[in-house]
Amino acid sequence: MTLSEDQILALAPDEASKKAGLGLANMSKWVSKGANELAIWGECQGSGSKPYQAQIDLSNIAFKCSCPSRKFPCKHGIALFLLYARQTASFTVDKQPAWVTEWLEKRAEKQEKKAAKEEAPVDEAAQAKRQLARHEKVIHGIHELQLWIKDIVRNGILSIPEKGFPWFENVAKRMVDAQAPGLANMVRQLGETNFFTEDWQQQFLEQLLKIYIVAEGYSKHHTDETPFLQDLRSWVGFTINQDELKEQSGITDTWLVLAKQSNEVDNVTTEKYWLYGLEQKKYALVLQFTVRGQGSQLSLTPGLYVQAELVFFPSVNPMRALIKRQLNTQYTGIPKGFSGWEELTGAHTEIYSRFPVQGERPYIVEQLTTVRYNNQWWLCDQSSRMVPLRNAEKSIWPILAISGGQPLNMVLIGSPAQVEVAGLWQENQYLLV
Amino acid sequence: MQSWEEVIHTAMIGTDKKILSVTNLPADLAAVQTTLSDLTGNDKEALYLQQASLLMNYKQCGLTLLQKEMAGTGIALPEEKPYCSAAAAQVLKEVLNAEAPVLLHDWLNHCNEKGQVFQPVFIPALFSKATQEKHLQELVMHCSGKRGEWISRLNENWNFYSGENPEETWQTGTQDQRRLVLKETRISDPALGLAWLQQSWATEDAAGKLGFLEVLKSGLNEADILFLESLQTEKSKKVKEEAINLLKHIPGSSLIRLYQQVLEEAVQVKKERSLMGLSSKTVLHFKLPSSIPEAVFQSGIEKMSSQKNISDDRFIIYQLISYTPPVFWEKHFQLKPVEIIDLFCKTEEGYEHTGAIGLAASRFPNPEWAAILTSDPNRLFLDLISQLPPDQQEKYLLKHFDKAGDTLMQLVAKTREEWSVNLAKTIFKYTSNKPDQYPKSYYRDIIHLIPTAVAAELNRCTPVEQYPAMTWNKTCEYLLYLLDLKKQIHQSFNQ
Repeated sequence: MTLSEDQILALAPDEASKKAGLGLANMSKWVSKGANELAIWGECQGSGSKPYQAQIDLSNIAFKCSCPSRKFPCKHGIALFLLYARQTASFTVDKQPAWVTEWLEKRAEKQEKKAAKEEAPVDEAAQAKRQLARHEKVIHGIHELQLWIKDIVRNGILSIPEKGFPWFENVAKRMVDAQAPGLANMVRQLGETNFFTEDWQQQFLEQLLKIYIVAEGYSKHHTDETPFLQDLRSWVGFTINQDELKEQSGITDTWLVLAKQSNEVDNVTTEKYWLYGLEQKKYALVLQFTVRGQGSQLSLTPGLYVQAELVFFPSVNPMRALIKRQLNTQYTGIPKGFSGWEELTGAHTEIYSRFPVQGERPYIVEQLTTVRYNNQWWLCDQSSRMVPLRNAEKSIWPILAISGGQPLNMVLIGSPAQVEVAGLWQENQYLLV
Repeated sequence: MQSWEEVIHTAMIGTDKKILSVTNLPADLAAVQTTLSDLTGNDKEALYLQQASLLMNYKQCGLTLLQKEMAGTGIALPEEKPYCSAAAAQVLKEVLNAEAPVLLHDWLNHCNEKGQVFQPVFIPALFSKATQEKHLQELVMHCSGKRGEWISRLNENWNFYSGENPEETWQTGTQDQRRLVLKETRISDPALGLAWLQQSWATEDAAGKLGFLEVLKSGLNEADILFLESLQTEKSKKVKEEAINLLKHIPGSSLIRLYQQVLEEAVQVKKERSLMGLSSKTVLHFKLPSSIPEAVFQSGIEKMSSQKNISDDRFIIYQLISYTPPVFWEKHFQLKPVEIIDLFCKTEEGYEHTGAIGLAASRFPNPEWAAILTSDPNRLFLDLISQLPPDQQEKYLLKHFDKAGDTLMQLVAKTREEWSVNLAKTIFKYTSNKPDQYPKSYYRDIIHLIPTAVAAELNRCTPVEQYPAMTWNKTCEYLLYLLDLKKQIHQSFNQ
């Protein structure tokens, strides 16, 4: 497997690890190093008497190191991978050492055990009782939320910017108590409206209406067993048993990892992996939550293709998915995307007509150029339709530098009202922005 | 969409005071409106929220995008120079990560010398660096090729290109660009640079004038004298002082000639009798003339000594000598430089004035005088070292290192040539004992001077004491990393 340096660095848990990894990606630091089609391994001389043993499982990228670092992957793992990408020829192809074999075997064993693990018998009556109790709590919370929303529209939103953070946080906490964490997040986002922008009223109102739609929808349709209800449940904050979900058959395809976005709140890192299936032409979002200090299960590298079976969460517009099985593939190339904004807005209309509240989505759009208009940067398609670029101050210069003003195929995240560029193709090479 | 505006307007005022008008609703939604009214009854807020939700989804389902024929950003011209190799690009990445501006300068220098350009993907990082570190601008400009030239026109912070025509840049560029182009022109054609400055002088403000005078140091010559002397009528005190300062560096200026006139009278050779009058010796007598033109003092020569053991007269003579080209003494005494120094060294006052001659030899470079002056084992002439042949420079530094380590460290850090392994070892043996004074960042900033071959010798510079020895070990690791990068830069451009 060949990963670019940027792709490897994207696996690092933070900037410090990237930097430390780069510093260690130096031949002189490594006492031994080897590789075969299954794994890469190496011994790095650290401050201890014995060198640290670092290893990477290539079939399903995973790291292990004997160093005491709590970061995952540690700097030795990053450095070893970097060194392999730079100087593959310098890695011996002898038989893998016992410590590598042992680890690979353990991993395989674990996978098998996991697959064979039998579910403990479920007490269905108790489960139904718990679900009912939760539902009642949620309905009660939603009623309070509806009253709060009505108060806002009755009194007008002009004085909202003066309310401050606690005013929204109290309602969000109430939603957490009502076991509706999804609604709590939506209320928090409402409080995070940028009241210093000219159109804050529109942003605020749109978010308020989304909360209203979800709250009203759930309170009216909680008895309908349809995918529509699943969307509402998901927005309210109900989770789905992932083990059960994995038992369903999924979609096997060659998926391109379009982008990885991560953020950390209260020591919990949320990683969003945006994927695109080449045959099915489906987009997917795979989420991973990790608590600081714990290793993550999933390491997908933006720009890389993976052969995988994905099971989508039930929805009228399936997007969130989990990976049931994953294999690596040597596939490269540029997937076909939307030919322009008109085609994209058409698809978008279908999505919204099925369910009116949507999160961000990824899009591949072909032949876009950048344009400056009304003191703002826009992405312009071949028919001169334009969509404003979000966070342009950060991304516009890499886009311009790589494109030189020429139209390029781009990966975007957002909605047709505003997008940000996650990556682009330059001469068949996928570059992250 | 007018009805959406109406929704926002109602939200701002509140449903208590305003009811959402349904007259502006799109025709598609008219039928649903009745259903909504039936569903919500008399609940004004519920009705508003349902209408608004409906309109929001109607709006987002029928999104119409702005369609406009725009001129766009244009397209960058194809590159004329080749891109650097993949290996060089890889090293550049590492150099950027190392945050060592000196190594970045080194990389850019190699790239420029090879007539290559870096890949466009590096443009944002390198242009941002160049805005912070102006000394990199010229190299970044040359190594970014046509793509860089194009993108710099789109970002005013990156627009440090001087354009195709230097004269046009001089006339229309920013102050920074004008200073840069004046500096370049002064090096290639000093007379043209002077002519430009004279033409625009009356229109420049005081700060601009001061900046340009500082640039005029490049290519300073006798043709500048008239212009600089004319600046004594300037309003700005700083501009006048800078003009005088420049005149003090031109041997033919009237100021230097005035100093020489005073010295001709003040420093005389006299014969003294000794040994009961049986023999005589030639010595120098230092005595200021009774009247000294006021212009001498107006030019910045101090009248009073700040040290008790040095008389005012001696101090004035010292200053005048320091601004007089050493060749003056050859004419004045009709002697060779070595004989003149001998003459000065015969008396205590004369010996002290050789220090001033040293200063003069650095202001008016003269290798012959520099060689004679630096042969004095008791004096250290830092400013003259650069005039010595390279092999002599190092010998001179090594000879004085034990006595004046810190002073010499300042000098060696400013040299342009890479140190020899021997010099580097001497320096490290000195600096490794002072880890607080010479931390890791110190070596990072002078890495261009450190020869890569010294990597094998670093352990031999380990101090005896425990604390500095521990720190040195860590510094060595960092130094090895930087030296390896430096080696890679060189190799990647010479494959």
